[in-house]
Amino acid sequence: MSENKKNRILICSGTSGVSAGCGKVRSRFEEELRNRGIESDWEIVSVGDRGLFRDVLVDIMDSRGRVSYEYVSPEDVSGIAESHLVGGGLFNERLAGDDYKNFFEKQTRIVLSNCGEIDPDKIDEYIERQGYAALKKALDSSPEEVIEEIKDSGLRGRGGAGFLAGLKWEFTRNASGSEKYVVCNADEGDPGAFMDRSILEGDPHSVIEGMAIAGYAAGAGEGFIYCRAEYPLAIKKLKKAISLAEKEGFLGDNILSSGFSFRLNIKEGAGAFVCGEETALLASIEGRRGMPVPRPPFPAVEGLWGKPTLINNVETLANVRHIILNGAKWFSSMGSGDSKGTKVFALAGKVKNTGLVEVPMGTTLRDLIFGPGGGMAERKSEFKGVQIGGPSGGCLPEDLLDTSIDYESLNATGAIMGSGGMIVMDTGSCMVDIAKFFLDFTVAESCGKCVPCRVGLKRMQEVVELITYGKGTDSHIDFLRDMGNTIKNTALCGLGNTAPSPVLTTLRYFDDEYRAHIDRRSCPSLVCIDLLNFEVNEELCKKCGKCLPVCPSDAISWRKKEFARIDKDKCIKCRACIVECPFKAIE
Amino acid sequence: MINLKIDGKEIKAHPSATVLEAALQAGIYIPNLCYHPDIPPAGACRLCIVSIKGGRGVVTSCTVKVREGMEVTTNNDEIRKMRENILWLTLSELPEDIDETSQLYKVARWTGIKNILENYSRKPKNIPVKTEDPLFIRDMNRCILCGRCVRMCRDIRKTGVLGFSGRGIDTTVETAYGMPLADSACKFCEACVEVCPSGALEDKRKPDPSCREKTLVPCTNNCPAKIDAARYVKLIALGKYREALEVVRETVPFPEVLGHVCDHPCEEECRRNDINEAIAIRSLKRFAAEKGSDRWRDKIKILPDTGKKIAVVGAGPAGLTAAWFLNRLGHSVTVFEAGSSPGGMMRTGIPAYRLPRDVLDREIKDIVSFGVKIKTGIKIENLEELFKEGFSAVFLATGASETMTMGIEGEDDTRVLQGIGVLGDISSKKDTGLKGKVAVVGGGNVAIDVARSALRSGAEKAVILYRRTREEMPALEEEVEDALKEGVEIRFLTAPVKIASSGENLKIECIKMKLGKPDSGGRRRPVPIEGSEYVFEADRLAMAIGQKPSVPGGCASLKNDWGGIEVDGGTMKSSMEGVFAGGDAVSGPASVIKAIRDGRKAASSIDRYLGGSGDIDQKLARDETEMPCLGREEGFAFRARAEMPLLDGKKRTASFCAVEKGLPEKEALEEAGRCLSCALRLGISEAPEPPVKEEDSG
Ligand SMILES: Cc1cc2nc3c(=O)[nH]c(=O)nc-3n(C[C@H](O)[C@H](O)[C@H](O)COP(=O)(O)O)c2cc1C
Ligand code: SF4
Ligand code: SF4
Ligand code: SF4
Ligand code: SF4
Ligand code: SF4
Ligand code: FES
Repeated sequence: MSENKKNRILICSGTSGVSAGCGKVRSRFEEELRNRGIESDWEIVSVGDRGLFRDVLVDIMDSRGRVSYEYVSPEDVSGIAESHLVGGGLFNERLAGDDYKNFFEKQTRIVLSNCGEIDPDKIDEYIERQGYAALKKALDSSPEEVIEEIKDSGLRGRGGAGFLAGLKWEFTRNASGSEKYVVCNADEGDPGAFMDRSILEGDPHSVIEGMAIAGYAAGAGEGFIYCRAEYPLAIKKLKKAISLAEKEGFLGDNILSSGFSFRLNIKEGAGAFVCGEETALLASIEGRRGMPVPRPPFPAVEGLWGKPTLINNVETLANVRHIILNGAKWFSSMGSGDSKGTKVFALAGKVKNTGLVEVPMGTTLRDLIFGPGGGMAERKSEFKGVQIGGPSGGCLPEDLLDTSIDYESLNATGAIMGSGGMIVMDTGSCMVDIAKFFLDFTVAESCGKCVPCRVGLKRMQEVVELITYGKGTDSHIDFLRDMGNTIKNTALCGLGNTAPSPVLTTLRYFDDEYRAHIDRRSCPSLVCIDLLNFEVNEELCKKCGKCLPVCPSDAISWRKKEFARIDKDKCIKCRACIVECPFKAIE
Repeated sequence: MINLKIDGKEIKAHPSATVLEAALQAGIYIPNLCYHPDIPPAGACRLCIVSIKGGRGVVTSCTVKVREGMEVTTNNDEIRKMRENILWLTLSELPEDIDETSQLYKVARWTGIKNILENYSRKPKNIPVKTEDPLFIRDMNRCILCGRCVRMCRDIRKTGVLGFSGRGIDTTVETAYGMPLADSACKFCEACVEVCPSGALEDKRKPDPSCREKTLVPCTNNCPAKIDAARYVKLIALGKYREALEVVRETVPFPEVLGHVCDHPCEEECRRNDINEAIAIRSLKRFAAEKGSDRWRDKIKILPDTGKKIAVVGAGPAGLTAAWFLNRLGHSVTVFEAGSSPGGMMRTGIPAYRLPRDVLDREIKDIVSFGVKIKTGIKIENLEELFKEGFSAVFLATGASETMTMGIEGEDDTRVLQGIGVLGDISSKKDTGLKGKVAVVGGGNVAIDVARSALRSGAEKAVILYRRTREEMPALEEEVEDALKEGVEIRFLTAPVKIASSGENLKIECIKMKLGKPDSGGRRRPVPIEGSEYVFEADRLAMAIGQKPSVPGGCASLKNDWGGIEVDGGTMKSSMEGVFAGGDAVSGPASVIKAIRDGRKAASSIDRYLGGSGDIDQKLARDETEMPCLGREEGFAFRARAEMPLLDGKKRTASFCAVEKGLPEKEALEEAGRCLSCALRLGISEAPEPPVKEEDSG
């Protein structure tokens, strides 16, 4: 085989890959290649994550084409080497299955197109895939033309609010002042979301290129990437990528001899959720406490150190090069209504395929969950609801599954696009408990500045908690609705404005569950411990006595040849006996 | 100007105004708590929500600027409902007993306190109250996190002491790392306290609402003559010595004298006492008097001649002060002095080592140079004659120089001297007869002065006999300290009962005392200890147990039971038409600054009596607009009081040279820089409070 056109072994080595042990897999491959004397034929490439949780994903590309393996452990490597690399066959045990194919084939990967495909540390691989061509093209046009193109594309911010990106660029450009900044919001505070991280790790240049184009269009000479400190790998990849881009002249002074100069800095964020809110983020970059301030003035007019500042999300910026290269028309041909292009979702919960899914706007929830998502994880389990938009998103029931994924349709349901968190729940989830779970998060993350959010969420949380304890009353429901709406309408920043959504949407769509907790003091999903009574079903109990020793509070009495019994007053509802009973006799 | 409509009312507003400001100005009240006119808005309390036509939902009126053609609704069912909810949330964390005078309480009443959640009981936060800092306490259980204090401290004072700590429901206002205020570079300007709407930050000494200056700027307000100490200390800090002197000169004609001898009640109350030590206000006054230029002379305006003649009897501080102001008002003033030179107690009572005579002479000369006539060696006994001579009013300021006697056996011995007389003799360079071992009876400033003077006039030893303890001594603490340093001995709880004059020296029989129950003045009464008598030998004994007012013989009818002239405290009018009195002649021995106060009062009252306005003051220094920014300075609270450089202990008793050398410029500047700028707080605007609802007032 020729030296310069090597065959490639792609190993997913993003944060998910690392935690799955990609390092060991890689060294095993190196060992195998060395031992077999075929090092010069193969190139091992550490690529970013592809977005599917299948432990270590390995793709092998050679003259026969491309073959994907999933769940590859270090022990599998010699087998793969034996049968695939040397033997010319396949290693069937780890061949990616239908779910895998289904997952990727049913997506439209634009933003994620490079993730898992290229080595993020090699700028050449990026350039080979038209990298920095968009920047060249943009620099050949006027800033106004670039802005026009982005405006025409209909690209909206992917960070949550969905503001038209082109318009924001224009505001920043038109704001008075010679010193301006571009800030990339890579705080990604939404727990469970990791699209921004994956892009930064797997394709950092796409963000850098987007920022440089944005800087050119908005008239900014300096940019900041605000990345949470919990993303060390992303920061490492970014640093490397920035220095490479500087070396190649895509960043720095007089970029590509255009006269345009642009410098890029990384700021590590402390990781509070609210620091993702743009005004809090700016305060944090300036070294102040990350607390939102009222807008207007908008950052586009008065941002970092009082200067006009353009803030865009990672995914928003990663879209830019595709729009410049392929044109606004191409971009706006995807999507529906006022929502154009694609959106990446972090699909989680009780679906078969969890991970990053990129689909065109306008796809229905059903098509996403049952398409790339592969449907419910276990055959028996039944879909109950889906939480969209992160911890302050909304929870939608089955009959809204045909809702189109676009900003307007989602907002109409009481949910939000948010940054693209999507958690699928089955009938085992109690919606009151879910609402409480998300409130716990927002209560803990409220910055404490304004009354509705700081105190209001806490009071709501207490009331929801009472309901899960079986101490709910009718007036609690009214209180939650009323207070939820007040907070939504009066909180200072987006956190407070959206934080009541889980409660408000579950009240709207799962009212019967609240009613059951209040009227019947029961939790239909058997989640709210305080509403459960542990009893031995004598029809099932085989009098084996296995439950007796596991109970930590001596609540079980049992004698040979007698049914076990549970003393309600002593039972602490730890579930130890339920797990232990071989006959599922405890309910 | 911008035209907009609020609740249907056409309004004009400044383009930089917020909707809230425009509404308040137009008399439309919108409830608000985190807004304050002097601080940038925060949008934290959310009470000020309004809806704007064409906009979505509600916005906070404190953060939205007015726009041409805007139509604002400040109150409808929906807004009211949300406000009630927000208010309920705010209160849901507070103790039940909210200070009824607080803005929070009034806003809550106006907005309407409803119970939103049944069976809810308030959840106090149980945060320990911080009481250990000087001047104000911080009770975070009462805090509504409006952030006004934080913004004031950070954005206006730029001291950056207070900030938010914790997050969400656990947010509190704190210093960095919860350190004490003093360690956090706090300047104790108390602007934070001033703007706190809830009572979470509270003065330890609550200001009297009818006269906030009294508590808040205690130096100026504790000065008997109301010299604006706060103002001139600030001017000195700015290096404006000339202006500082002018400020003092606006109120008194004796800046430098006071700079040497004032008993400085201002310092007793200085707020900096609560932090470490008071500002050395008196020393700063002396500094200003020495360093400030003579520009004040050119500024003094003598008003046109009124044709009225006024006689002042006694050329002490009270008389000369009255003369100075009456002269300025255009009256013709003659001061009659019985002694050979003017100055009164300032000359005969205060030794030169405390008040150099050139200082006194200079300031009296200034008074004369503007037209006051002083006739010395003339003892006035009969007032009728003065009126006959054409004087329209008389001010009696004859002082208190009659030494009181103890009434004990042997007191008439020639070696038993009058304390005040001794001081006068020293001053006029007469022989005092002081020699050998000198005993002085008394515990006031005169006793101390006599003892210290004795050491300077050839006595070998000076011993003060005082019947109570050091704590009860009326003499100034620093004088006592100086006397001890110079070698004066003080025997406490000792009183002479008999003087035997046989032989060479005086054999003074003394008795030991102990302290009993407090008397009407609150001082504990000394009680003799039976059988503790002993004999104390001395060459001279000086009596300094107090003086009585000296009232001209022809004025006996004006006296009260204890020998002072009886006057109306407000007008200084005596019972005789056209006769006013003040100073020690009225009060008994007091202080220079109190005499000056009386002189001022009398001048004003006499002017009114003669048909004038009674307005004696003339503004000399322009009012400075004080910068609200203080800036950050680590260790500010720990800066120590400037120490007055003193003459060397041994050199002191060798002469009557001034003991205090005066503050050098660098120290004076630093000392003035320690001032807390208490007056700055008075310049903070008031937060808008809700109109009183009819149901409340009715
Ligand atoms: C509480 C809160 C958290 C946010 N967190 C993020 C975040 O982690 N990443 C992000 O891009 N935007 C976040 N946003 C949205 C930003 O405020 C802002 O709208 C966004 O960065 C703008 O970029 P875009 O227009 O490209 O979306 C958050 C907003 C709120 C209210
Ligand atoms: S809504 Fe919540 S997070 Fe936002 S400013 Fe208010 S308290 Fe802070
Ligand atoms: S373990 Fe199950 S079957 Fe056995 S005694 Fe307990 S309840 Fe009955
Ligand atoms: S510097 Fe002033 S405003 Fe700041 S904490 Fe101290 S007293 Fe309060
Ligand atoms: S201490 Fe007072 S001024 Fe400061 S935040 Fe609390 S309530 Fe507001
Ligand atoms: S700190 Fe300054 S202003 Fe305050 S009382 Fe003392 S001298 Fe007066
Ligand atoms: S939010 Fe406007 S006054 Fe508090």
